[in-house]
Amino acid sequence: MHPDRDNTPDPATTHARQCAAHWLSVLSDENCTEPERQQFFAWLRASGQHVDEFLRLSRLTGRMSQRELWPDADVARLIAEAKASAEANVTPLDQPTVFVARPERKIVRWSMAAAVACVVVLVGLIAGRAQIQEWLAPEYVTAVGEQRSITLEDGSVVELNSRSRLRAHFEAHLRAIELLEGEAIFRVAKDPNRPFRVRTGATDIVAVGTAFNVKANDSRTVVTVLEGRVRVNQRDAAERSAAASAKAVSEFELAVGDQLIVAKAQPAIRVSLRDTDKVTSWTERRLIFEDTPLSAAAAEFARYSPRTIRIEDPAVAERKINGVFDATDPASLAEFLKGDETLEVRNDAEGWVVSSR
Amino acid sequence: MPSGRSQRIAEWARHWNAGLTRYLRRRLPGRIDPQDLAQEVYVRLLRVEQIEHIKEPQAYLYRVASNVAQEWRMRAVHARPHSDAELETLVATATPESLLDDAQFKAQLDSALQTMTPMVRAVVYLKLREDMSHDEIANHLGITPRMVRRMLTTGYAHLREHIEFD
Repeated sequence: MHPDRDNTPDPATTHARQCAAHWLSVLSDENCTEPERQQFFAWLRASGQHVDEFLRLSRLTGRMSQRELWPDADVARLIAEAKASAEANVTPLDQPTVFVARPERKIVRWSMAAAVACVVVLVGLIAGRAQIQEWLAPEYVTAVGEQRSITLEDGSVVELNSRSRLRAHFEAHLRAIELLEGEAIFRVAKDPNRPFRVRTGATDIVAVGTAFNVKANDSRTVVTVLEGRVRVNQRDAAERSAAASAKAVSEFELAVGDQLIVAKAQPAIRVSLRDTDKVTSWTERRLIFEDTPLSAAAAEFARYSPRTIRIEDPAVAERKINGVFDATDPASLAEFLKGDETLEVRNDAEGWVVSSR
Repeated sequence: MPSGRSQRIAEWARHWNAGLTRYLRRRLPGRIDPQDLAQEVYVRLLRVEQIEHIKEPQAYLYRVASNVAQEWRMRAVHARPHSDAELETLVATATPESLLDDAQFKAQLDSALQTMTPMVRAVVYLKLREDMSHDEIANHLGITPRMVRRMLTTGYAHLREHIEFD
């Protein structure tokens, strides 16, 4: 065991520990109020040390929920000792100190479990297997600024970008993934007998063992191949071809560096990229802009940070910018724009407002 | 269908809770430094857009922490595939170490409890071992719920001071 601190913590640490103990105590109270919870969150966000101390204490008490780690104690005696002690300065209520709550609670739990089981059976009868599997498919969600790396049950790895939602559903002959919103890189584990299909609003992307980036919003899907080959079907066409068993017109085979942009009810656009760094730069929280309209750049930043850059002037929104930025630092873009004498950049509570002078 | 929806939500919550419980109970793997982890969690908390939308900040915090720990674990596994020899040592050391850990933890917990005042000890015991609510504890000990909070704060601080963990 490696000690994480010396024996005499500095005053700031002592204070942070005391506060962490206070907040854990408050939050474990079933009568904890909404404002208290908000105060707790404000305290947490005030310092990394607060987060550190609160997590350490939580993990310590979390481990203590394992009963076998506790010394055997006579509960009635513990209570009697407590009541006889000087701290019990409030007159005790006239109540026998007997422990009867536990078994009752267990009974309640069992009957609840039975009720839940009944509901499961009922739902199963009504809904059918496929529907249930869809409901039970794990869903992965990231908040603004949060990125996650997920290993799926077949060994494929998904890097999920900020503000994204993904569902994974494994069948015997298909690995069915749905990218409901946002952006992800898929590094697909090889399995020739089980194609890996990523479905977005507009497309089906099928791969066997390869890596590719998908960015999806309501109206548009952009697929970029990083390794190997993938096949993309425009969604409505995919359904038609399944019915008519004819080869879909809008089927694309993509190789490394190919990018396909699919918008609803429009012909897909295929591009060959010189390199794919720009596409994958989000994994390093970098944003690379090459002749990117300012409005698009501002929208990219908004995926990572609550402080937004708003553009009041349509002409300014069309302005093209170039550069590499830290995705988590919209201030760097604001600073960059301030350097332009034709622009006015104003700070406000939500971020920055840009207009022409 | 409402019952299907609630079923899915229940399943989803169970899925999350299992991960959280694991995160809160087990030792962090040696290659994860708790302080680094806390810093990364802190940075992610700062990026939260509308904090008033987070109704359960405590659960949210654990979820983010558990995600970070999981990501780092995965990254470590993928970055450096273990040789057979390494794997054997890992497997060989896993069990005895965790047993030793439990024994050490038990001894530390025992002595921490002994050095508490009787009231604090009783509150900590009823809360953490018996999983009682604050109102139940107040009833059993004949004190006010406010006192329960205060005793528990003292107890948590005492545990933190006397037990080395992670």
